[in-house]
Amino acid sequence: MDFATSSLNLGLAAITSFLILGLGIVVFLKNKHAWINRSFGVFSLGATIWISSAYLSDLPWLLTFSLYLNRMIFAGLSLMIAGLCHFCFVFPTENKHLRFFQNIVYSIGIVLIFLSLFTPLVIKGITSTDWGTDLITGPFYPLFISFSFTCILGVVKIFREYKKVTGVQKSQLQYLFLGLFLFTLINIFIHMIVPTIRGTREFYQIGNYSILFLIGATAYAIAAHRLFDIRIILSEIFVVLIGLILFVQILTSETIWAKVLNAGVFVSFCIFGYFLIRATIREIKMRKEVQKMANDLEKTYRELKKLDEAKTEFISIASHQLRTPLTIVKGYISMLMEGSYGELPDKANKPLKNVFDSNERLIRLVNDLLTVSKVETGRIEVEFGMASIEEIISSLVDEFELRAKEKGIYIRWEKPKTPLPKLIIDKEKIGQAILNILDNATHYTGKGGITVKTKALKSKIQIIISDTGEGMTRKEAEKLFTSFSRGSAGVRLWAEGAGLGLYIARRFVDFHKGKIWAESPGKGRGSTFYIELPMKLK
Amino acid sequence: MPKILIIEDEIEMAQMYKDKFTEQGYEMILAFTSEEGLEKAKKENPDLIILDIFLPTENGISFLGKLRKEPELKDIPVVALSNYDEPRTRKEAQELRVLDYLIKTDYTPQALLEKTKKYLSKKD
Repeated sequence: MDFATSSLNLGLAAITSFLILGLGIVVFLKNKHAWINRSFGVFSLGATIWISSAYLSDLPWLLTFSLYLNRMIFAGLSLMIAGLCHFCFVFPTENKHLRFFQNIVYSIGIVLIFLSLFTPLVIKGITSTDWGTDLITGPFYPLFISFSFTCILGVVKIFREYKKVTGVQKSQLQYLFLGLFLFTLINIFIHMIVPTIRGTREFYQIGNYSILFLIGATAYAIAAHRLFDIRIILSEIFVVLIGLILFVQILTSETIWAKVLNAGVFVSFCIFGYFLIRATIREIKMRKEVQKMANDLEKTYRELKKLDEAKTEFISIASHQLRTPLTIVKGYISMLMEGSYGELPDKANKPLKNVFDSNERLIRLVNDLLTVSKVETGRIEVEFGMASIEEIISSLVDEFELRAKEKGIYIRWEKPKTPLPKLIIDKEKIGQAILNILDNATHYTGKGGITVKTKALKSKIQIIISDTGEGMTRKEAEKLFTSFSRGSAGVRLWAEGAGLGLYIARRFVDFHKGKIWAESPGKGRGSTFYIELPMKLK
Repeated sequence: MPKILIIEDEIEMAQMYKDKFTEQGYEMILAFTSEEGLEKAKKENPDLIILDIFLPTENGISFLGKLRKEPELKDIPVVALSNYDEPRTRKEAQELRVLDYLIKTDYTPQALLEKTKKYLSKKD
């Protein structure tokens, strides 16, 4: 071997051994108690023994010790394999089911170290060649080969884990795979392809030094707090490799023009490479930002949904709790008035009726609050079916007759001459909407009365409820169907209610894709309310 | 004499319904929990069960589920009477074959009695 080659070999062996051992120490010291760091330390130590023994075993002046140095190689390799296996079992997370198997691997590793160092069972002897020493293997050499395949189990374990993990752990495994891939590829080339072509293993040391890729990538995966995206590293490796090839081409060009041309290509490629890496970094950064925003949005959405459900649940429960005493008051007062607990003095009837009516108002308020809550959280159920508007109005007018009579006002239902067609509507919701308008009209009318009419238009039906009540301004009419709006007349005339009835009416009409509005000539001149529903016939 | 079982944890409310129904000649059995309701249903074999949904320890839906699994009890008509008005709960009760899901504040005891007469006449 010439001086240049032997110097190169020494340099590579020294650098590799130094780097591997150094990385092993750094990672071990980073966290001495973690199995990841400990197993990596064992792996590095084994690799250092292997690399340095491999170099020393080929030195002519150490020929006397060559056999022992070659046996040291296999001791180092056994330690390295045991460490690598253990590392795979615990990185990035430990698989506790593999602990027993791990102990077996270490036991076999220790046995092989002993057999390699102190017996001829693994390495029986050596022969000298032009390029160094070759091995004469012993009967336990196949055991050593089989043992080296236990690494495959480790690789299978981390490969399966790769599919499950995300984020940083996924990046860590990507680096480990990169190191393994490069190490495996180089060794296949050096130990299988080169001997096939050249019939010699003289370049085996290059295969040994490639362990630096595996150890370097793994150390980075363990120790770095923030890992660069592997795509950036791969882009950089690719650009550097091509750059190196182009540079070598400049050096090996035969003519000056070829040198100039190759130099031009090299410079252009360097510029291109710079922009490529920059663009890759930018693109990855942007994708990560978008992904983070999407994740934050998803998280916020889930939190909002939970809050919304909690709010709805709270309102349902609160309404239930409010309704319980109201039910009891309603029940007992009604039974007292019915004489269930004996005859009451006449003068007790009116006060009891007042209590009953007040209680009914409270019940209606709770019902309205619950309805508004359901509407606003989209939890209201709409059940469409064929229904007659005339029947709904007739029933409601009958209900309001007594109240109107008590107030000294009239309520009239002007039935259409031609019966209206049945519509596909939610009978209960439309009934509630009309009831809320009648309720509103009753409260705001002190004298005169209420008239209910219907009108069939081309593809719509109008329900028209007019009253001779307080009337309103146009501004008041516009705000009337928003929640908590009563118009200024309400402040004086109607102390009850929270302005929810008309808002609920509007939302129920909205479900039917209809329209609801109010008109009034002005204050003191009555109002007319319109509900317009599309004619959806069967 | 029709026998009605009321499962209601509010004692005043249960007593109120009992007073009204007894006045009209019904035999009333009261239970205050789901477990007690199941026991009394087995023992008394009522003609109708009026069931509250919000009950301590085990709710009315759970009671219904168990009732429908008992061979001798599964066909007893049940009316849900609750102040808990939630579409999902209503649906669950309907799937377990309640005759109706009534809101308590909508009915005086007399109005509930009228409803009960209709349910019992349909059963006959």
